[in-house]
Amino acid sequence: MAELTPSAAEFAAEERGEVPAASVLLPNAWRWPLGVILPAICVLSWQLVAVLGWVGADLLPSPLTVAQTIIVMARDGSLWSDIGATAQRLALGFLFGAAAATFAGALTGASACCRRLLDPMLQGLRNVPSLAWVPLFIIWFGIYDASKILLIAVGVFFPVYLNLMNGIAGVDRKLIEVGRVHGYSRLALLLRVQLPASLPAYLTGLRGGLGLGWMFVASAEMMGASTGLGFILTNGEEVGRPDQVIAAIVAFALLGKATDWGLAQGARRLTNWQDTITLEQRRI
Amino acid sequence: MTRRLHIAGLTKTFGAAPPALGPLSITLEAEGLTAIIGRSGSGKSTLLRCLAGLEQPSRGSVLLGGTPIRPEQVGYVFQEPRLMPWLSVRKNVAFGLRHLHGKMRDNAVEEALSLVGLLHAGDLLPKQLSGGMAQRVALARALAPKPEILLLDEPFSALDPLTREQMQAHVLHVSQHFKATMVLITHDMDEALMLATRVIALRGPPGRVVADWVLQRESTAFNFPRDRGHVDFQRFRRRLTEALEVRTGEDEIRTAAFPV
Repeated sequence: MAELTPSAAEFAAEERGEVPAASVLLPNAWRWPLGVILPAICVLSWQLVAVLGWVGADLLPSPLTVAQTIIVMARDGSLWSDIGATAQRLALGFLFGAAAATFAGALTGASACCRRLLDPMLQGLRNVPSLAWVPLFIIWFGIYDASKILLIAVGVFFPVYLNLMNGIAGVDRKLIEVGRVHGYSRLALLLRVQLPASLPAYLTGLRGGLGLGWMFVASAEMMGASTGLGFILTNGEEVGRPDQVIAAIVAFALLGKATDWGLAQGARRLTNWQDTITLEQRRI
Repeated sequence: MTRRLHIAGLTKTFGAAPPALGPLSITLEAEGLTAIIGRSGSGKSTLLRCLAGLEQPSRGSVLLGGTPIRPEQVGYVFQEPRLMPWLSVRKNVAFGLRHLHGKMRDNAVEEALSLVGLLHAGDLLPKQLSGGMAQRVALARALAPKPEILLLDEPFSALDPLTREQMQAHVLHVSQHFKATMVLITHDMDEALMLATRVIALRGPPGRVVADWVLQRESTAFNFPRDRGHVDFQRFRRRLTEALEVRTGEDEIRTAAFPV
């Protein structure tokens, strides 16, 4: 048998007729700033609107004013303690919601019987508006963190549950047959074939769940909290400080984007086995 | 130790449809490669799936040395490689070795990879493999547990002609050095006559045997390595064509006089 040179991977790639990707429009170094162009245009336009006085500063403070507010809050430490409080609630809610969804999604994805038993009820609950839970959770768990964490967990639960259930149920029958030929039990098939195969769908669910988690943490904190970014929002409204409100919105946007980016990077590493076209291979 | 595979009165019916297979009775001697050839719908894949335990026979039995077959006694190479895309080549080969651990498992993987000439590719992912390499990994995965029965379900059908020839050489090598009863499903007559020690032709539905030849007994042309140009090779090829041909009607075949 002939040895593969210079490396087996390169040889195989050549056999598959693949050529190294090269952009026809943009060199690699110029790709990442593309995503910054639109926000930069928005901020510049916003600054222009503020400078020209088209909208009053009491309604729309300039980006520079908002930046100054953020700097002041960062210096006196209130920004960090509020971010910390929000992050803690979100982390706990995400953890509980994702764990429950993983269990339920694995169960309903792998077992048709469990799916018939559980899924209709869960699909019904999925359609309940998030704010409808608030009074009930406050009655049950009080106005402190427990009710907020539970609300976030509810938000995280459904995207994770749906993606995992559909991911497991949609695993290629042919891969399952390989496991059956080798005598795998149903549990072994779930652990060794169905769960790994549904990992991309699961990670998509986690990203969706995290996004909803950020939305729900804002709602939860706005329904009554003395710390957190949601509190900065309501406090800004009460004292008539739109710069404070916008500062909190900017913090939500940046933190949401950062956590999603982190999860996306992790997901990319975990699913690098997928034979999909990469951004680089899309040639733009 | 390889034992005789005994198929007795095997019938498979799917739901209310007419039987897809049988009743079929075949005894496969230990070792050697038996090619089962037939047109689409002749029940050859159904037969293989019944042997592998992927389908439950509606009637009849499949016994290996007098006892029902256990999963660890069967290796199966599918039409497509069916590799787990998240596992490296080495871990894919180890997929079938659930009862082995540690050093013993590593050794079995290395041995199987060496048999198909892929020792150097152990760390690659399936997406980095060509079609031929992926199918060789699938062959290694089936061989790794050292099965008594190796089932090959048209494993070359998705390959280009050159890769197919390479793969056939691998299977021939395996059939001569690996002690297993091998069953190859194919619809390629040359492939069957190049690789098999016995050829069984099925016609259906419902699939039934219309020809059954032990090749080396029939002619010295079937000693390995085989020569496609040999007059006996061509003669058997024509006989096989006739055995599979339908002249008119469902039950009328030209080869009624052939040994069944």
